[in-house]
Amino acid sequence: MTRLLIVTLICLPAMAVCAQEPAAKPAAEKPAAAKPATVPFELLKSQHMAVQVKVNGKGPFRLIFDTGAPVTLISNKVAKAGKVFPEKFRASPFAFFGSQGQFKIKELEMGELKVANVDAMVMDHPTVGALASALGPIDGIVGFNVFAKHRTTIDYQAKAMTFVPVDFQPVDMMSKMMKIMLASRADKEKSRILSPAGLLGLRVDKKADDDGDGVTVAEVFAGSAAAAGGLKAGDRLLTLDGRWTDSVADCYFAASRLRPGASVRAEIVRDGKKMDVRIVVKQGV
Amino acid sequence: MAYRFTAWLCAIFVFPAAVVADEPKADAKPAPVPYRLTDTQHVLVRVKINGKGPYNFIVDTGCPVLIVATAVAKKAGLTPEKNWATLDTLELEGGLVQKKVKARIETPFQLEGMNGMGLAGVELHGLLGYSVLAKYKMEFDFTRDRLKWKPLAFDPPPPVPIGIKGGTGGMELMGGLVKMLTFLSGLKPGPPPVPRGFLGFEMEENDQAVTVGSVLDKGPAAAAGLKKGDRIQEIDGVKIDSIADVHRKAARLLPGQVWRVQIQRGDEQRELKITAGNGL
Repeated sequence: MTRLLIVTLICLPAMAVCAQEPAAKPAAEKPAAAKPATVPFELLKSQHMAVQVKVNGKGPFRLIFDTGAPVTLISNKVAKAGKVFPEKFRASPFAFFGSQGQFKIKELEMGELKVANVDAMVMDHPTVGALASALGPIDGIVGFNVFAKHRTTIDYQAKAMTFVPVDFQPVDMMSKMMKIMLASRADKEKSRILSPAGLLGLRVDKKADDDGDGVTVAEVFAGSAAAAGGLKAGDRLLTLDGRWTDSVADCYFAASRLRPGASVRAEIVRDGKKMDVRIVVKQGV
Repeated sequence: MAYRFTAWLCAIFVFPAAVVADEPKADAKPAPVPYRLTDTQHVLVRVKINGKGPYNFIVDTGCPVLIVATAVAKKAGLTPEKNWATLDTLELEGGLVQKKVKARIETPFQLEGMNGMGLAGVELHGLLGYSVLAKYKMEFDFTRDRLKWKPLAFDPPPPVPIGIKGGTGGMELMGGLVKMLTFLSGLKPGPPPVPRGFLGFEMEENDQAVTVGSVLDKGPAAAAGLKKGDRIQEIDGVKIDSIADVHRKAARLLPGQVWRVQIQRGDEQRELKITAGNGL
């Protein structure tokens, strides 16, 4: 069964499997349009967040809201009640943890929030089952693919979440994972290259036995953005635009998220004193 | 393949069942929290423990407490008692700090599995669960490059023991399976990321023409003879129409590699060879 699922997945055209990290450029702010949908939650004794969820109008069922779950998961019971399986599909009673594969929920509803076309794994997850045995019925997990499409707030004090749709399309986990698993050895052994998004004009360094905070500025190029901002060789760079720069790689990662034209803060230590400098990022390489 | 897949499936749900927790301290300004999404679509933030780190933690409302992987706890100098330790400080990248934070010291099999197979694309060091997260009103918006977390004057109630039979429902047995499959599958974490090569010139774009702006003195581009006003036509045989084209080429450039750059200077066509250096 699982094998069949995998074959089906491999045969699918790759659905947006490009590297997926938050864009360096902030998306254009939309006018504060939609009123946030409020979703109350119950805090279980186990400190999990439980939400009441309707699947294709059926329910409500109690599911756990889990930012640590990349996909949404429902039990076989919910899948059957909500008619999530296609007409001719026959759920296998012998599947590992009742795992039937991934299906689409036409409409998932929780509180004031309605989300259309939600991918969900159908599986009787043993950990969910174990929790349910102690805490009463729990029929799945609401995961990343639901909340990532929204600006989501979670407030444990108010025991409520809010959701406003944003233009973010989560990648399809299944195809992404298959791609990782099927990648060639050569691909896997290639290092990712951390590419600065703009030009600062400095060189940083950190010796292998140096485990202090930050990296050392080894050189500042004359006439560069870094020089104009007052950075000097010998400074210890602690953060760049609010991101820690505790290794050379971290420093390049922080630079990969910059935007040319932006004025960013860098925290440094010079002669034992902590101070800030501002650098206006240049367009360049 | 089928088993490999199942192992993956079990590993991605970072969902330890139950454990126990601590106290707050709060002021009220929302703080930016830099984050990244792992290849497994987990929300990752970086933390320092007692000033050590940074370490990669997953934001996990499906976890009741703060979990620090055993190896990381050791590196950070924690001395756990019965798998619990109190951190003097837990600092989140972006500036939020919590003091005297209780942490569970263990390595959940999901982390072990994901790290073993390199699924997340980055090494994972622990989980930020309820006891840490409940002290903030958290905002997630993945169209922006930071999360916004506002400290709450809220003392999260400690978890109540709930007596689950069989722990995680037998999932901990998956640990061994995941480890074995990791070994058999040949999936391993990739090599660490490397910095890009450095050229040292600014550029401007007008009507599908990319012109060189300032060239940094003593930089690789200057050494190769690139000058302000040169128009970049091709790099390594690839036509350049936009700044984005240059960035796309540069994103694969390693220090020490050579770029053949076709330029137009006045009426003259030239080819320059620029050897990428170190810098940003």
